[in-house]
Amino acid sequence: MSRKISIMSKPRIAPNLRWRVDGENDQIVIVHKDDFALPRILNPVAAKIFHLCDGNNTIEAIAEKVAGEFEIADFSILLSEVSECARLFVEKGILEE
Amino acid sequence: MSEPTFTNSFTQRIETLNKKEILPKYFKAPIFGLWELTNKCNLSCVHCYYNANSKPSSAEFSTSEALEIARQLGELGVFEVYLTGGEALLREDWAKIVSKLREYNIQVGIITNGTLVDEAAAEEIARLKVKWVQISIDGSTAEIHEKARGLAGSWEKSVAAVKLLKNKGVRVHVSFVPSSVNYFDVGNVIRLCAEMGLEYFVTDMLVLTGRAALNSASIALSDKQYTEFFKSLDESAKKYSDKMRIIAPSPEKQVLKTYLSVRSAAPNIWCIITPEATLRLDLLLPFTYGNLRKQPIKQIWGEYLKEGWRRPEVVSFIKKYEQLKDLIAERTIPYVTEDIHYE
Repeated sequence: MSRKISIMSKPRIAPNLRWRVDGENDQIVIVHKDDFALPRILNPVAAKIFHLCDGNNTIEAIAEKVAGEFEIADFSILLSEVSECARLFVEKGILEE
Repeated sequence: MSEPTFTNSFTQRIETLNKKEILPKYFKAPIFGLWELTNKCNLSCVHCYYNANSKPSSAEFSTSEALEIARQLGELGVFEVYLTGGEALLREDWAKIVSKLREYNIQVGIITNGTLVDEAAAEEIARLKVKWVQISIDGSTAEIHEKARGLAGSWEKSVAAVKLLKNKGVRVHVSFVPSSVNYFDVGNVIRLCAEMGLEYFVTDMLVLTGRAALNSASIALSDKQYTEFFKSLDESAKKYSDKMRIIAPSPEKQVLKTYLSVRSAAPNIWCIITPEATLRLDLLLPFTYGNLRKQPIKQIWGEYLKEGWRRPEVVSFIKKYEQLKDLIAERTIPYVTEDIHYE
C-alpha cells in the first residue's frame, strides 16, 4: 500500500491516461492505460473527485466541493475518504501528485 | 450451500455494480470493438464461426475507408479494438490500420492463425505496440491441428509465429476451439503453451454459426465429449496454475439462452464491425445494423446498438432459442445465410 496523500496535495490526471466521460447523464468516467488489463469505470462520486483533480485543487478543497454537492454529515470522514480515493488513483496510475 | 453457478455469480456482480451506480443505462460509444477486417482466409477450418473463404467479398472496405473507420473509433474514445477476419493479416494494409488506431492510443489485439507472421510482420507488430496477439492452435501435433484447420504445414507456421512474436517481446496467447476433431487433445495443447512460456491459454465453446453450423453433424461435441473436455481443462488448470492462466468458458454457455441472458444483463459495451460495413451486436445473433459507408459509427451505435440488448428482434430471438444447437434449426444462421439487416 502506498503512502497517504497530504490534504494539501494537488493531484492531477496522469498524462498517459486515456479517459472519457460517459453514461446517460455524463455521470461516470471510463479510464484506461497501457498497463491496465481492461478499462475501469469510476462511479459518480469517484468521477466527481477525478474531475476535480486538475492540479489546482488541494485534497481539502476537493472534499469541500464534494461536500457541497452531497449531503455529508461528517466532513472529517469525507476528507479521509477523498484522500484515500486519491491515494488509490495515484497507486493505479490514474492520477499523479 | 450450493456452489454459485456462472450465471448466478455474473448476475450478482451486475447487481453489485448497479448498487454502486457504476453501470449506466447505456454507454455513449463502444468501449471495445471487434473488427472483422476481411472475410478472406488462407485456411478452411471445420469450426469457423464465420465461414471465411479464399476470396474477399466485393463489399470490403478500401484502405481509405478502413482508415476512416479507425479515425471514428479514435474520436469516439473506443479503448480497445481486436482485429480479426477471416484472416486479418491477409489485408495488405493491416499495419496501416493498426497504426491509425494506435495514433489514438487505442489498445489493439490481433486474432490470427499465425501462418503469415514472419520476421517482418512480427517486427511491425512489436513496433506498433500491439497489446496482444492471439494465435489459434487446435492441436498439439500437425496432424490434429491441420485436420481442424484444413492446410498442411499450418501447424508448424502457427507454432513458429508464437515463438517469433514472443522473441520480439509481444504478448502472445493461444486459443483453442474444441470440436470432435480435437477436444481430447486440449491438455496437450496447454502443455505445449506452458513449454513455450505463454502467460495464458484461451478456449471457448464451439460456436455453431458459419461453417461450424454447416459442419455441425460431424464436428459438434456430444455432452459426453464436452464433459471430457472440461475434465481435461480442470486437470490442466491444476497442473499449470503456477505457470499460466487458463481462460475457459463455463459449461453453462452451451445454453444459448444463458449466454444471451448474461450478455444482455449489462449495458452493451461493444460492437462488431463487419467487412461489409455493417455493425453487429453479437456473433450469435443474425442481425446487422446500419451502413458505415453512409452513416458514422456514432449514429449506428446511438440508433441501434447502445441499447441493442433491449431491441425487440433481439429480445424475441433470446426467448425463442434454448441451446446453441437450436441455431442450426433456424433458417437464418449467422454468417451462413443472409443477415437480417436494419438500416
